[in-house]
Amino acid sequence: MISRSDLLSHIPGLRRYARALLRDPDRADDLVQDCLERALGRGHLWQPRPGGQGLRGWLFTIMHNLHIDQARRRTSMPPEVPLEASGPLAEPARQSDRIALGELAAAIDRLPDDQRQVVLLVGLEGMSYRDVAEVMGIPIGTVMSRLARGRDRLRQALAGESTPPLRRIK
Amino acid sequence: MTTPMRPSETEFNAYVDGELGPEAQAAVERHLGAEAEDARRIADYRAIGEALRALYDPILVEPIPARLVAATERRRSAAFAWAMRIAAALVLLVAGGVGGWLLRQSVSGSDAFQVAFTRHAIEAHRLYSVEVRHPVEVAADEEAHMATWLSRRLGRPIKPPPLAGAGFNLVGGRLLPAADKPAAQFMYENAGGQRLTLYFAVAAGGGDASYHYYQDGGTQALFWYIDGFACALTGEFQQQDLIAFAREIYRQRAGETVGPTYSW
Repeated sequence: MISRSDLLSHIPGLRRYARALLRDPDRADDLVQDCLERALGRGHLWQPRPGGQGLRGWLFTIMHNLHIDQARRRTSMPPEVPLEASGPLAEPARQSDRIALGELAAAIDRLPDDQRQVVLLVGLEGMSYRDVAEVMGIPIGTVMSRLARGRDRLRQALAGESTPPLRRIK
Repeated sequence: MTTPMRPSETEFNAYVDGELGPEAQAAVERHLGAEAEDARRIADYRAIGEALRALYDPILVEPIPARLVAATERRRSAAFAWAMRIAAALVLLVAGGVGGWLLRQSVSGSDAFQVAFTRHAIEAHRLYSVEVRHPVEVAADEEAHMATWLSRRLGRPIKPPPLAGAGFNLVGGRLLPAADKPAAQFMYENAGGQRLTLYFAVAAGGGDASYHYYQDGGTQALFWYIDGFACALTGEFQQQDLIAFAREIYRQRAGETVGPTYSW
C-alpha cells in the first residue's frame, strides 16, 4: 500500500525528469499524471523489500514505460517543436567559458531518446547505474555505453568546431 | 589513445558518477593528473551535470499543479477541492508525513545521515544565532575572503547566496564540524533581528530530490540536497516562510549559466 504523502513526495522529482525529457511543460505534467494514476491503480503490486526497487525507482520505471509507449505512438506523427525552445530556459551564452543553458537544453533534445534518458537519469536524477538499468529494463553495460555516447555527444555539441567552451575556471 | 593505460570512455564516466571502486578510481585520478586533455573532458562532464541541475532543479520547488495532487487522490470526494487548496502550501513538506515529525523518529540508511546532519545544523543555529557580539567568525564585510577560505576548507567553490530578496542580509559565516567532514554556516538577519542560518557540507544526495522538514521545539529546519551538497536552512520561522527563503535561494540560481563563481 502506497501512502499518499509518499507519492506526493516523489512528484517534484518526477516532474523534473519529465520536463527535462520532454521540454514541453504540459506534456511533461501529462506524463507525470499518467504515471501517478497508473501507480495508484497498481499500488498493490509494489512492496518495499530489502534489496528491492524503492518506491522512487518503481515510479520512474512506470513513467519510463509510459514514455516509451507514447513515443512509439508518436513516431508516425511529425515531430513536435517544443514551445519552450525560445522561452525562459533558452538563455544566450554570456561568456564563452560557461555553458549556455539554452544550448545545453537544445543539445539534449537532439540526443537519441535512449541516450537522453540515461544522461538525465544519471546526470540529473543522480541515479546509480544499477537503478537506471532497473528502471529502463536493460543491462548495466548498456546503461554505461549509452551514457558514454550521450555525454560525448553533448560535449561535442557544446564545444562547437574548434574551441572547447566548457572550460571551468578553478 | 595516448597510451595503452588510458582508461576507457566508460571508466571516465563511471569515475564522474562515483561508480568506480577505490583502486580504479585512483588509477583514473593518476591518469588525469598526467593527461590534461582527459582532465578537461572530465571537467566538461561535470560541468554538463551542473548545468543540467541549474536548468531543471528550479522545478523541484515549483508548486505541484493541482491536477497532479488530484491524481494522488484515490477517491475524489467533496473534501478534495479543499484538500487541493491547502496542498499547494504543503507540497514541499513532503517527506515522512507532514507536520511536526521530530528528530526522534526512528530512521535508517541515508535518513540517519540526514537526521544527524540536521541535528548538527539546529544545534549550531541555536548556539550562534543568539550571540550578540560574536555570532560569526568572519563578518559579511569580508565576504570575499570568507568565500575563499570556506571554499578551500570544504573543497568546493562556495559563496553565500544573497537573500536580500527575502529581506535578509548576510551577517557572516563560520566553519563547523559536520559528522565527519567540515561544514560551513552562513548567518543572515532580517530587519526585525530574526536570524536564519544556512548550514551545508559536501555530500552526495543519492538522487533524493525532496525537501525534508524538521522541527525541534520552536526551531524549524528544511533539509535538502543540491549539486553535491547537503543543506539545512534553520530558524525560528513558520514552515511556509522557510520554504519561501529556500525558494529565494533557488530563484537566485535559476536562469544563471553555470560558472565557478556560482557553484555553491
